[in-house]
Amino acid sequence: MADNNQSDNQSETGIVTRTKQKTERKLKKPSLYKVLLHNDDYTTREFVVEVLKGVFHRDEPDAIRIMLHVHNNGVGVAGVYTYEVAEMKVRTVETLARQREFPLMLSIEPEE
Amino acid sequence: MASPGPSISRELQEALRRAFNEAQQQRHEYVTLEHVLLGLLEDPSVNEALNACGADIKRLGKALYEFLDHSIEKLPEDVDVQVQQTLSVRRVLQRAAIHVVSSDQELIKGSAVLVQMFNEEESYAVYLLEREGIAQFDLKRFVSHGIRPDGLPSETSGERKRESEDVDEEGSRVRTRSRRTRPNSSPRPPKATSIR
Repeated sequence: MADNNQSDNQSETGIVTRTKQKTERKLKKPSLYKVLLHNDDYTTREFVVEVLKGVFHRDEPDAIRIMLHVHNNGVGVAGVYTYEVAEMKVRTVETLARQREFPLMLSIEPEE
Repeated sequence: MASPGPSISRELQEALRRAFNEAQQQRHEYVTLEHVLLGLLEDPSVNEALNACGADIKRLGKALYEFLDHSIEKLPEDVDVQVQQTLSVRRVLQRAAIHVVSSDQELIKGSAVLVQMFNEEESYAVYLLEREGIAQFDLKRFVSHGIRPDGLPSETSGERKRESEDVDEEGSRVRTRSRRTRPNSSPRPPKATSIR
């Protein structure tokens, strides 16, 4: 009986140490996220430029440069934001594209 | 008849108004969780919960201002600022409202919003809270029962005043008892009794 109690106590302390180690995990600073535009054969160059200016607040030369980059390379970075803002930009553009029936695709990925 | 839905506390309305004004003044396009948290710091229910859970509110406020100033894009001068809430903020407010309804309360308070922030991914607001040592579990415990992470009962919480008074009575009872027993608990007296 006494032996049983002792081993119980030991396993209990084992659990306690394990939880302690878990809570000591390091706090991770959130990443910034790239909003990517993907090329397709239906979305017009004009619409992509319009979105880059209107939603991502790029000036005309910048917007054209990014649009051409997407056109030539299949994908391009529209901007870098916090996750929360990146999600908003994607949702805003998706809504605009849907209204105009453009299949423009966007994605987000963490910046290294 | 359908019962009237929960209403937003006046303090929470003011906090959301502060968040909106902050975004507008800084020419920010969105009201983000960081704007909302900044607005909430002056909400009594939030201020009390953060204090009880060990945050340095002044330092947190400063970190939030710095983040908003440096990391959130300002709209160009020629663009009209039409501030809107992010999806993240909308989800947090929605969950706070749902929680209040499902727990049969009538008022959505700032503290309910604060608790729900922790379910958002990759948020700087949550990161800054965690950096102050704030955990969602501690907040939930404090908001629900007035129990602080250090185990001491809350003395200021208006909503749970009666409860905390009870705890206080209990606490003082324990305290007086322990005061009495403390001298006896030194190793010698028990030995003496066992000899007797």
